[in-house]
Amino acid sequence: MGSRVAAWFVDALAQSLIVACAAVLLQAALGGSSVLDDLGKIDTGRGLAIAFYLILLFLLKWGYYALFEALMRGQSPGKRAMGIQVVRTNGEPLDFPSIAVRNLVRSVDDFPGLPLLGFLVAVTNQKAQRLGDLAASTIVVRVRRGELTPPETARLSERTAAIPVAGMAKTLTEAELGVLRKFLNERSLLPEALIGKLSARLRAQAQAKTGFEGRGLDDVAFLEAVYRAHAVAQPTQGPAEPPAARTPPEGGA
Amino acid sequence: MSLQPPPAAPAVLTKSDLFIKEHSESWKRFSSMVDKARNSPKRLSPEELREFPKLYRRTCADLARARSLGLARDLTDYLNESVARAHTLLYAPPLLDRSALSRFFLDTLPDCAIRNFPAVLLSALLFFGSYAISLFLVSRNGDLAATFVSASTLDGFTDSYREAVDGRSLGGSSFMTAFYISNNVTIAFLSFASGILAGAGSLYFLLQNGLFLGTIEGYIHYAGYGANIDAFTMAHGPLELSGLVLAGAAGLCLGFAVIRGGRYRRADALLIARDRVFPLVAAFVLCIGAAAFIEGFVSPRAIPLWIKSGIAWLSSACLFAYFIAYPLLRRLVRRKRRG
Repeated sequence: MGSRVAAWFVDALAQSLIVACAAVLLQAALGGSSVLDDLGKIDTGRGLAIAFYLILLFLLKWGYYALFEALMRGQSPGKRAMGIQVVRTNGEPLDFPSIAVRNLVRSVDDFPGLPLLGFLVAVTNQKAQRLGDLAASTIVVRVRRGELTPPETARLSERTAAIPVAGMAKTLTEAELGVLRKFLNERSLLPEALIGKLSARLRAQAQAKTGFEGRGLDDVAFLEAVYRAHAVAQPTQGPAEPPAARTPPEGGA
Repeated sequence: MSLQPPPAAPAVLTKSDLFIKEHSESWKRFSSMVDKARNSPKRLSPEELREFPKLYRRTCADLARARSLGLARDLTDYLNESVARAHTLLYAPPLLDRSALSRFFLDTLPDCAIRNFPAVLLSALLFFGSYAISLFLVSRNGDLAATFVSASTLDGFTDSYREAVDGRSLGGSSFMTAFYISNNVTIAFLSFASGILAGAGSLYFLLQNGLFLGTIEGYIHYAGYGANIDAFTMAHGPLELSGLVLAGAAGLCLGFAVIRGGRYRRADALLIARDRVFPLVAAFVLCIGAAAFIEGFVSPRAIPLWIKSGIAWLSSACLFAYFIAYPLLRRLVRRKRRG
């Protein structure tokens, strides 16, 4: 939601700049005479200049967002800056009817008489839709930045390699192992206080599930030992699926 | 049975890791292709284009397998995202293409009034009803006008129509046309958009516009300058009023979908309404835009009345032909063909 507001500011700024430039140009075209005394007598050049200015304002008001959403597939300059995008609720990119309806109803969202109506509607809505989004069945989502890479393998410390793990029931599911791996790999990114709490919690859960006691081990060592125990045999070309006997049934976790 | 990784082995691998190892090559290739294409398939080479659907299918299958094997969550998330990005690339239709355009103008657009007939009818009743009533009342008794429109506005209009319309320079006409476009289309847009408030906004705009126009017209007639205002409004009248009615109808459609979706949930009703409403929007924009040009260049000119009247009839005939006769005929033909 915050990104949308920020994006809105950027777009509002851009629009103001455009209007300001146009106004300056208009002044130049009018050649200093500002008052339109008699509409009937206005000369062609000046008339056209004003006409263009009015049309520009009109197009800007209604078409700024629409144009960019069409060209950049759902992003206005402000949205692009904040890394968010408009898509339809079924996941597909925008099409003309959605763009049209979404931007026309925007006028109700920004209605001066009911301030922040669009904002209020969006805040109370599960999918953060303002009135325009509801009418057009669209939502605003984050665009993923950076590269997309598969998860890394676990980085475990040497010292835990030799911990005896007899008596451990290898009942953790792959999903649970994934959680362990993620924690072990990325715990340094967490605040200090949280690491301790999480590791204790994970240990308790792992202990309950596997029956492994691991006396004398600190939490991290415990978790690493459990993780190692669940690993599968791997020559450098591993089999796609390890033998069925080793795999816990799917329904776990 | 415990397992000690051989000292030479670099890492401790789970089933997820093995799965990744086996397939990561193709995933990386797939991902880089999507990155390269960004939003348009045109950026890919012919070989890449040939390979792309295969990789897409394979990654989808891998995702399905990963899910049913219950593999690590961040792995399935990665695959899911990878596929999602590619889905857009593979399936998004081009925004604009020739056949879609011709289909729109030959098929969808003419049909819109008939398709949404109840809404159009209601809109017309509301608008013309309020117009006729206020016109009737005010032209009989000019004092009533003040209840609907402010005195200063009334005076302003009376002044403009005191003399017969005189014609404007080209510059003036351009300027006024631009003004009419921005003003009238904005009103129409608002009439439509406010329909999202359960139709209340459109209702308000239709009644208010009808009352306003009827009052002004009635008042000018009452004051004795009726000939002047008729000479002005005659040419662009049919187009502009039709546009207003269509805009209101579109807003009412939105309103219906919000209030009671009928057989559908509200979200689905809005989805359907969106498709119904879009051609109506295109229709009224075209009508009001055309009316604005006529209002700017033709109406203020002191040309013979029969020409202006002719334009009014011609535009009405075109509207009728395109939005009523043509689609009705097509429906008739289609029904006959089906026997």
